[in-house]
Parts: sequence; structure tokens; C-alpha cells
Amino acid sequence: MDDSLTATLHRVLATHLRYVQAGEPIPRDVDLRELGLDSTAAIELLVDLEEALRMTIPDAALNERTFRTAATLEHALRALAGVPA
Amino acid sequence: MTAAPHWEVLLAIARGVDDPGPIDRPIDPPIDRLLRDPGLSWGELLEQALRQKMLPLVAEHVTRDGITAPIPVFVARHLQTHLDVNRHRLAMFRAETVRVGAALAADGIRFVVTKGMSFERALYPGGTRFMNDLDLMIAPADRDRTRARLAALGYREGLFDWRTGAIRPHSRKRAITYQLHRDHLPFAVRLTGDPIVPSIACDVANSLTWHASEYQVPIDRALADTDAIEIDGARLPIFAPPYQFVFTALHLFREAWLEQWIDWEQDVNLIKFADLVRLWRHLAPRLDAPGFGRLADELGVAMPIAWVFEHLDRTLGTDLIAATGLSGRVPAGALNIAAGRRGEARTWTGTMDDRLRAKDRRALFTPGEPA
Repeated sequence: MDDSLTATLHRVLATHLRYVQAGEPIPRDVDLRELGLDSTAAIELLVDLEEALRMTIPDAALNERTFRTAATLEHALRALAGVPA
Repeated sequence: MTAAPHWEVLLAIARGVDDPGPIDRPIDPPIDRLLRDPGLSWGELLEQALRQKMLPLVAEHVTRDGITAPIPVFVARHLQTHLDVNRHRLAMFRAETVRVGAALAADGIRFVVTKGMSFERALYPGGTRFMNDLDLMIAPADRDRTRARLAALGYREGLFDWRTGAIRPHSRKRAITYQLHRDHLPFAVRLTGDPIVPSIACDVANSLTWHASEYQVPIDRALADTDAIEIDGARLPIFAPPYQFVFTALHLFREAWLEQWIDWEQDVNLIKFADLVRLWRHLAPRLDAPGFGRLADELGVAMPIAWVFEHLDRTLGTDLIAATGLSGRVPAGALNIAAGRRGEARTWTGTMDDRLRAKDRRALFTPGEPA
């Protein structure tokens, strides 16, 4: 699942980052808010990620730390899926 | 231009013309005379009263002794029934507020009763204030304990489905929103077993505005300044006058400023303006107007409060901007601004009166990204 997790994350993430052009790589350590992820988009991103990855993110992981960067988000999703980095 | 007769009736009832107070406008014709207008459309009056959440209030005025206007009998009977149902609902809400309040107090949770229940007895005598739910305010630190206590009292997080009579859990998107936008606990509902009022909802806020709003009132400071009201023989805490008025105005601002409420049919309505004008009159002996203006400045909420007052003054003929010294706080052009879902500025056309009357509020907003 690990490769598909990364690919799915980037595919879904790209649709919610207003300042990242299609096909452009998503910087791993840039604040997602700077890339155009506002609080409304963050909710939509989560719903889409849960659906795409077929998982439910527990309440404890639903916080701003999880969504700070693409790297923190991937780290959280890997931990939840039990997939090592 | 004179408004349509049905709208004049609603404006007059909203102002509370039979209880004149410090409203700087000539007293309108009595309701009875307005109801005699041959151009009055009862269909429009009833529809707009429903839209503005004022039907029980209209019912109480129309069915009063002394009304000589020719009210169609079927209308009068329907309104009387509606008023009776509303009084029954309020009686259940009062009892439930006492029950929930006692449980929170027993747990040592600081809270205040807010919105309708905090002032319906004082501002709307006769059980005329329509209410959807019980509204409470707590400190963010008490979120988990309050949530647990409500569950123990029989509340389930979700929405009442009136088609099935069951509680439908929140959608995943809504549940995530509650988790990330931590200004309210998840809306919770309890089934009552009552055939007229089958459910009671409890809406608990822990912010006087909303998540990520640039206008934040320190909640601990507001909760430290409380008053009390008596409900069914019990004393329950409410905000002290300055914060009660701040919150009532900010709540109206929230419903008018955030465009998203239109999609949920919860855009601002006339009853919210009626609340403010009546509350202002009720609190006048204990609320220093210039002092209130200074408090709004100190709390950093002068702009939203002034935005509401500017619209209130224009819509119901009050003079709150001058009284509170809040003139000039709203930037030019900002009276017709709203905030879209992504925080972008949106504009709407017409006056607040136009917006309140509009049956298609969306049509007033300039084209752009849909909310």
C-alpha cells in the first residue's frame, strides 16, 4: 500500500491546492496553507482522502499539525495505515 | 417607497410598536390598523412570517383581544393552533434547559444559557419566540466534559430526521468539520417521546464568533461576567448585559456575513433584528450606550458590531450607531460585503431590508464561486 498511498495522497492533494499547477510537484515541507489549502479545502481534502484510501482518520489525528505539510500528512496517513515510511 | 402591507406588519411587530421604547422613529400605526389594509395579502404575511421565524409572534398579535381587523377565520384558527404548539414547545425547552443546566452545574462546568432561551420571557411575553434548539456557551476547556454529560443525558450527535422520527448521525464531512472547526460541539439531539415536540436539540458553542474568525472575544472574560435568569423556578446563568448584547449582535453578524448560511436556509432573518432592538430596549437601564461602544472597541469587535447596528438602524429605524459612538467603524462599501466559503469577499445588492424580504437570497449575490 505504501507506494499507492503516496501516489494517492499526491493525486488527491493536488486537487485541493489552489496555488499548485496541474502536474507540478508538491513541495513536501511547505505549509499547505501557503499552497492554497484553506480550512474549507482541508475538510474536503480529508473526506476525499478517506474515500480514496478507504480509511477513517480518527478524531485524535484531525488537527492542524496533521495538515501542516505534505510530509506531516503523509506521515500521519502511514502511521494510521500501519505502513512504515 | 412604502413597503407592502404584509411587510409593514412584520416590521411593526419586530420593533414591538405596542411597547415603545428608545427607538428614534415615529410610532407606526397600530397593528390593528395595518391589518385592516385592503391590500394585505394573508398568504404573503404567513409565508414571510415563517421565513422570518416570526409566525408565533404574528399569531399572538393577530389573535389578541381587541383586534378588529377582519381576520379570515381559517387563518385565525391556524395561527391560534400554531401559537399553542409554540407555547408547548417552549415549556418543554424550558424544562430541558433546567435539566441540562443542573447537570452541567453538578459537574462544575461553567456555562451560560444564550440566544432565545436567555431572553424569550423578557422580550417575547406570551410564548411567542420561535426556537429551534437550546443554546449554551461553555469554555473550550470544558468541551469534552460537556460532550460526555450530554451523552449521559440522552443526547445523540446528529440531526433529527422528521421524516423517520429518528436521529441521523452527522455526515462524515460534517463530523470532520466539527473536529477541525472547534467553535461548537457537534449538534446533539434527544428524542422526547412527546407527539408534538418529538425531539429537542442542544447546540453548545465555545466561541462568540466562529473558527478562524478575525473577531474573537475572550471567552473566559465573557464567562466571568454573568447574570442569572429564572426558568421554572431555577436560576440559570446568562451573560451579563454587555456580553449578552455583544453576543447577540455578533451572532446576527455571523448569520449575515458568512454566505454559507444561505445554502442551509439559515441566512439572517428579521427575528434576529427584532431580538436586538428588543434586547437593547430591555437592557437600556443597565447598559451604558457609549460604554458599550468603548467595550466593542476594546474587544476588537467594533467593525462587526457597527456593521450590524448600521443595518439595524436602516431597517428598523433605531439610532444605535449614534448612541454607541460607533460611527465610521464600517469601511466604505463594506455594508454589502459577505464572506464566501474560502474567506473571499463577496458582494450582495440592495439594502438589508431587501435581503430580508428576498425569497431567493442567492440572486442578490454577485456571480462568483458558488458558496
